[in-house]
Amino acid sequence: MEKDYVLDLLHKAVDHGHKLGADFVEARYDDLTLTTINYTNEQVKESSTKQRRGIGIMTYINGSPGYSFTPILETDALKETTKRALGIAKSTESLLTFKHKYTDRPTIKDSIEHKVKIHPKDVEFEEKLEMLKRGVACAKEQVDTQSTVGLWGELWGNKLFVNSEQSEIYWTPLLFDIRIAAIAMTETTQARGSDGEGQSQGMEFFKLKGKDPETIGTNAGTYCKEQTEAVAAPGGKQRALVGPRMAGVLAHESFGHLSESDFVITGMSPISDRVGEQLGSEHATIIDEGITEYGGFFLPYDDQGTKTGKTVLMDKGMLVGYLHDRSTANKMNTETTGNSRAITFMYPSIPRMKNTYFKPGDLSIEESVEIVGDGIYAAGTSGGQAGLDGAFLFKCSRGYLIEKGEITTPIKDAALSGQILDFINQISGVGKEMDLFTSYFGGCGKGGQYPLPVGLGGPSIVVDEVLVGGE
Amino acid sequence: MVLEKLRSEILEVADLALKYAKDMSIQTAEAYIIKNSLTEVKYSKGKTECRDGMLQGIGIRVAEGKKVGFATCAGFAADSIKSTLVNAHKIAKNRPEDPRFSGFISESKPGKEGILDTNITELDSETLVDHLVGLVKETDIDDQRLVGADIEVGTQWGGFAVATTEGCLVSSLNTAHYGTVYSVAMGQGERSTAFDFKVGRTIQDLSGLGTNAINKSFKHLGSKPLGESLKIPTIWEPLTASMLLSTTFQVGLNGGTVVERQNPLMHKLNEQIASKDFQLNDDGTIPTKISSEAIDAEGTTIGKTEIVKDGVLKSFLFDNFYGPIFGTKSTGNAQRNEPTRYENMPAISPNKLVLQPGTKNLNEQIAAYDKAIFIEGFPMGMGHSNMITGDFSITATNAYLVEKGEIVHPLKPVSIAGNFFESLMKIQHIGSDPVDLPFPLESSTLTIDGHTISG
Repeated sequence: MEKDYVLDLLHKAVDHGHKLGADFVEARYDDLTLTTINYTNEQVKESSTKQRRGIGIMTYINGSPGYSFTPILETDALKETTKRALGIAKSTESLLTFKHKYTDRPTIKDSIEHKVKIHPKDVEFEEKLEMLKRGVACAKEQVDTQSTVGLWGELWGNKLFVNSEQSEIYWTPLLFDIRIAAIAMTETTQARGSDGEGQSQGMEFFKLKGKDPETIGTNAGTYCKEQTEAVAAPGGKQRALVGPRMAGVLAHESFGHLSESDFVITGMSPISDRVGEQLGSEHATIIDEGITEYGGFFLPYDDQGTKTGKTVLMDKGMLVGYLHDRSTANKMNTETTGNSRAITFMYPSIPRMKNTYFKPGDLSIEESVEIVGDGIYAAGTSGGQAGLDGAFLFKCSRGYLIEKGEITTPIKDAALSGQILDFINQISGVGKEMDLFTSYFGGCGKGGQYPLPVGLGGPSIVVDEVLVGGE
Repeated sequence: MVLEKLRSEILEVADLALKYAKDMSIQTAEAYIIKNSLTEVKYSKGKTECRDGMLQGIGIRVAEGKKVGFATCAGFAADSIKSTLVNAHKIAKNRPEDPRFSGFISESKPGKEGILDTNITELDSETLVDHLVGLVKETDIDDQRLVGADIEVGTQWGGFAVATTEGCLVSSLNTAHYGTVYSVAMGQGERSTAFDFKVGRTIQDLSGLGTNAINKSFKHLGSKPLGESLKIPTIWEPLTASMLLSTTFQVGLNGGTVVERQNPLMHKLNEQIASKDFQLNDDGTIPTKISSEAIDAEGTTIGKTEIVKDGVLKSFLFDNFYGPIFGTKSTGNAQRNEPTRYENMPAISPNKLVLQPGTKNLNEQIAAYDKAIFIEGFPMGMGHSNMITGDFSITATNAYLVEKGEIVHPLKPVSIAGNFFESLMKIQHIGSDPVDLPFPLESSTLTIDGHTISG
């Protein structure tokens, strides 16, 4: 679709909103292509391309928001969509005590193309399938597999944004995600090992040391073999070394969500009204950033046209900020942080994370293990969950015992749980190696919008005590 | 009238997609069309979020011999449909063949469509907001323990159609109305959360949801630590039991993962997997259930499948791809994942698993134990369990200690460790109190032995 044609449509929608009485209008266009290859048991189970194209209109009247959307890229359809958005905004006007109001901002005209050496769209299907084949072959060299899975996912395209301030913003999202999994039989059950890489980068990424499909597949096979010999995780409170990927999930799921300003402003978050308080240990610094030096997801603008930057949420244990959209920033008399995001044009943008991570420290992995002494090393995770009461649970899908300052025996699946503020208070050291990633298969879920690409990760962190649910 | 007009439209689009395919010399194709009206209003302490729109899209599979490509687009514009066909065809031509592919379905006679409530299609946003206002009033109470309540009400109505070049052209319609309340309470520095919800194919009476959610969150304040690790029976309220069994059977009944050798129950067909009083059927024809459809996502007629009889596993669930590979037919269990559906390939999933009720209700089961743990709400971590091994370790944030047949006090979060599939053999009671839930499986209260509880 021609960019100028779409820009014209978006402006028409904004103008029409004003004609109908809206105080402020935002119009967003997504044109995204998503490609999936599922290579299960050395057969192509799925090979697909999805075209996600359409326009979403957010209108405000007397501070009341209303959203609608359409895949029909024609003026009449846009007018009808704008009317529908305004209709529902008017319906809820009487209920509002929180009036959406933006701090005035000058017109922004920007165009950011994320340039990479080898764009995934320029690489043929066969080459991507070949990568999965090589990864799976390496996994099979490590363990006698019963079953294997190779997954490739990529997302790229264009986003356009126009609003009542006459801003026009264009940028180009991009990410890929490769996963290899191996499954083997043990005497009594099955064991699974997996590894993967997800980044907003070009295909040249796979030429980096340790990032090639062969290494990913070898890791998956090795982790699977370890699981065939794993022992039950020791239950109860343990000292732990939490690996970068699990630290990222913790930073995101537990602390990150509690920092989202919609939960904060309504008082639903346990960290509402607590800026300036020492909530964590001095080792805990948590950051949310749009474009990072460590990789992850490339996000130059949010879906309200705010340029993303670096937002420090916790600085050496002290709560210093929240994740804002324009309305909550105005209400709390602070700067917006570029965290208003929507998964597709079919949804309104809401406060979401960008790339969330613990700031790296200075410990090597050996020093971290030595500090733990006896406990567990939670290296890999299959995800987790957190509630607005501050409770969290994260699954350790790859872990090891730490005995007398050394990583020893692999452990079976275990759950790490507790209260997030207790956990952050228990951090007694932070590693120096960073691992930040994004994902196509999975992502952030909130308000029915799943999976939104975000970045997460961090260094390894040492915690003095966490509840481990083992046997 | 509106719904039948929508049916005509999606059938017409499906047929048109196949006509375009023919014009492009594509011999074998399947088109899945969906159009759904979505209206939702969310409210949290004076802050609202509203959405009102029409989801519409098409997912097309094209087969070139035994090579299948899948592509999708939003909307029904002719150019988009044509480029989607081109994309799916290109993928099919370029990929390796899958010798197991046996074609799309040829004929299908739609089964029973669930109840359609035209009042939902006529419900305007003002009326929906009135429903919300009722819940806002319920949660507007003068009690310092209440931190706040998130409320959502909404409607969905529409349908989907499936057409294949083999001669299938069928559709199914649905209507739904729902409300949810999520409450956060606080007392002595401790937070507690709870929720209640209602969903159905007709306009629901949402009154009471707010009060229930608030009372549940208050009930859990004043929790004490368990302080030990125990192996004692766990009593699961119907909602929580349904979540546990839905997770178990959504994975364990998938005939596709049986074929792919990834299913923990793959060697258990015709074997005892549960206690003898365990009877389970998959029934996609119950008119009141929001999951009931006339056809599945491949166009196959939806019916009823016997799953577990007297504790013996009698069948897995199949779609039209994996059924023939296993040596059987599709059981009408192809579904496409939410929220967009058309963007996803068919995947095997239960329509509605119904567990035959037993004899004791919740209170009677609690009364039967000297010491047990009672679990309410949604424990954390269920969805992140290792479904290859079946091992789980979850955290129950709404659990209570039961002693001498009575609930003694709420517990601080406890971890519960066990194995989904081993749990089935350790069910001590199946309740007499099933509830209507939008889950793949509807259970009554369950008491299960053998879990390790720590906290």
